[in-house]
Amino acid sequence: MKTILIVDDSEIIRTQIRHCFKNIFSGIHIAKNGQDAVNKVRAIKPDIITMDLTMPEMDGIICIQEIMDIDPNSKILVISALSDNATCIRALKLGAQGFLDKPFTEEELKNAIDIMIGGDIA
Amino acid sequence: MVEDEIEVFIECLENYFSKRSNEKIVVETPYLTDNITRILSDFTGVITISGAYRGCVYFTAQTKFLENIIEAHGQSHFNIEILEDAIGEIANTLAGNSRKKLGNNFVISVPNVIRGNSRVIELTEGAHSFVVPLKWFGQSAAMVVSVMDA
Repeated sequence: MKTILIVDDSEIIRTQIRHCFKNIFSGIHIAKNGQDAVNKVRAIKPDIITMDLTMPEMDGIICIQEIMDIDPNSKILVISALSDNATCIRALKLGAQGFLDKPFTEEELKNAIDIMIGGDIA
Repeated sequence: MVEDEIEVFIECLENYFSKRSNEKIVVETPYLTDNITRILSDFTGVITISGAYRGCVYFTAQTKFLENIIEAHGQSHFNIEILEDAIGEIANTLAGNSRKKLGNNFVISVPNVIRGNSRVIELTEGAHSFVVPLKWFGQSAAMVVSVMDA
């Protein structure tokens, strides 16, 4: 069983992701902005991170940079409505392993995470 | 903005609601509105557009409409903050998704959320402003696109 950090400023999105993984991950942690996420990565070292891009205080792109500086092996799935190619490529170049468009279904989210962790979601 | 580009936003709307439940969204016939018309329901999320375009895109909905959205995300309790969060998230997602076809120079702001219908939203002078009415689970909402080339 693994731990996940959900980084999103939207409560309904955090709820959707938490609901999706409540029986899969042993620890589900929440961050409401980028700075909060950086602090939690230092404290809990999550196995998986889902990352929104548009957030107050510190946006997702800067947050990915800071997290990769802390732990270059971090597994980050970007979940964003900014689904244009340039944004996607920028996030991937910084070290994110996956990109999932908002809106998403629970099945799409589980598949995206499953691919990132090598079919070891359960 | 021409009618073909409005189709981009309608596709984003249909995609958004297809991911929420099996209930199909009913998109009614879009119509042009003048720049002083207010189309404001209980909650409104406004995205300001800049870059190669200027103007705004907003999504406005009844409380019950948003409660259905929130329930579809797996949340069973509602308060004002969650309703505001939901309308902002919808507006942000629709505008963000449209960049895939309109390009990176369709620059979107963070959502500005308005509660109630007591305020006026200035539509973009000189733009063709479209209203896209819709129904979902029998509840009404509308997307307004008021965007032109910069």
